[in-house]
Amino acid sequence: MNVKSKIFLIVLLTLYSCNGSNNNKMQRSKTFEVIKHFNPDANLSEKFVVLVIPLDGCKSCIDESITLIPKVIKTPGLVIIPDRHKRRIENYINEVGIQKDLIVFDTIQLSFTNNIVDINPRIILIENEEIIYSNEIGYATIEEIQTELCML
Amino acid sequence: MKIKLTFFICFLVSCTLQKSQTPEIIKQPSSYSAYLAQDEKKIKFRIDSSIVNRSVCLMPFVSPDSRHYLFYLSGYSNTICVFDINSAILKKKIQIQRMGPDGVGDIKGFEVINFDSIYITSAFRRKLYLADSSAKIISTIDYSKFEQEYFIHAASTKTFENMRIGFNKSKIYLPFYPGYDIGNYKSNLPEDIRFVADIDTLKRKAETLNIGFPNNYWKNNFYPTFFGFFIHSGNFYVNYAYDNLIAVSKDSKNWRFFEVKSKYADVKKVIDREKGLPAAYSRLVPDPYRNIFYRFVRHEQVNFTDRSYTDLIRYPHRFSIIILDKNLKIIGETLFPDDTYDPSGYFITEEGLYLSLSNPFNPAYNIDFLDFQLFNFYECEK
Repeated sequence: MNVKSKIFLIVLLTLYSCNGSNNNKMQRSKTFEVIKHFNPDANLSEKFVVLVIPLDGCKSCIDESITLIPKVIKTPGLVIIPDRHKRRIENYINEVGIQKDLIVFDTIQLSFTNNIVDINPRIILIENEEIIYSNEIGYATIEEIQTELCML
Repeated sequence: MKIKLTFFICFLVSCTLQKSQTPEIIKQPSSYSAYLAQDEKKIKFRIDSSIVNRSVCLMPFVSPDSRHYLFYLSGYSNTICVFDINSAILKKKIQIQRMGPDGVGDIKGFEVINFDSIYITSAFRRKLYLADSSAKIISTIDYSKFEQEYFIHAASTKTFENMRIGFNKSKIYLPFYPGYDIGNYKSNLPEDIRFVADIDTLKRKAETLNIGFPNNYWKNNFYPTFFGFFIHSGNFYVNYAYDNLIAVSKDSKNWRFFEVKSKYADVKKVIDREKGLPAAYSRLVPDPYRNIFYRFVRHEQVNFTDRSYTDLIRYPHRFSIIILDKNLKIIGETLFPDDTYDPSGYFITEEGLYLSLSNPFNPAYNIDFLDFQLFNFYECEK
């Protein structure tokens, strides 16, 4: 490979890696925007957890997510349920027995429009103003997530 | 000579096959003579805190004593509300159980035969339940145990897409989504997918209707499986959400295809998920009182940064309704004002078409009410 090709390759790799890190920065910024919207006093320079539970996701994934609520709140953290219909959220948390004051009602769907969640529940672990872990919650991932939460 | 004859026969067969796959294109008029117009009448149902003013399944019912009711599945719950349309009062809530001897899991939709005969489809169970008005399950058809060559997934009967159970002689026809695994779709041709079960409860056999998606239904990594199905006046209808075609059959075996295209929206245009949602024919609905059909058209929605993907699906910013005569000839297409109605909240009575005003993007939206606006059908003299 001649010198020009090597330089070209290095430039390409640099651009690619910058793009990747720009995407991460953008995602972090959007996640923090959502947190600050619902909890302006959240201290993200220490440990913080965000649990987002869309009610249209897979049923068993939602069931698994609920088991994490006590730990999330204790860390400290936010439990967000995004849905246009406040009543739907209320009816759901009454049905499963979650205290209303533990839940953030995202009726403007900021969690969706900021792309911090898709259709299934997601957990995001933050430490020192960085997202150190983010994953969809499901039957296959719950043990890993519980471990990550314990280590936080 | 024999070889020439063989080739000639093959040529004839090939022409015949091609002809049966070509959609019959009805010559559509260049100008339309019909439209829907807002009436003065609205219906406003007051709802309590347990009821959500959004539904994927609502249908009117006229009782033997001529009272008009609206059966309404609240939100994504297992509660079927029964409203008296004449007095705008909630008469009853039918709380269908999830678990236990009268349990159905999560309701996906229902079909009202009479007050004490309500068919219910479940989100994940491959069973059809028949319930009475006290939510007691009278009977269950467990078609998962029926002989079947093609796997019949959990059926769906709901008005959101107008996928409806059909009854014809001794058969039950159940529309179902053919699985959610895109990996499966990629290894199948869309025309080979089946999505309506033909259930014979006496023989305990579940076959499928010989109708699939159009052969160009999937492209550019977009694999929709959305459709509508119903039986009306003895005919079988299939609406394709992402194709201009409608399929019709008199006997569920031989199908004719009609092209019914919106003048405002292009459902064949694929859009990246990040940018928004493509246009689609959300549902085809018969109006038995005026002997016409409505084909709802969700228009393309792009670059809405303040709305989730779910918002775009549930509350399309813009939609229109194509009006068709009894032969599926287009006689009109009415465009509706932006962000005013919830087009999935519809029902039809002898008065006309009602559309829900309970759209969260409508400034007049109120969570304590379920509001409907009446539209009248007009046809200009030719």
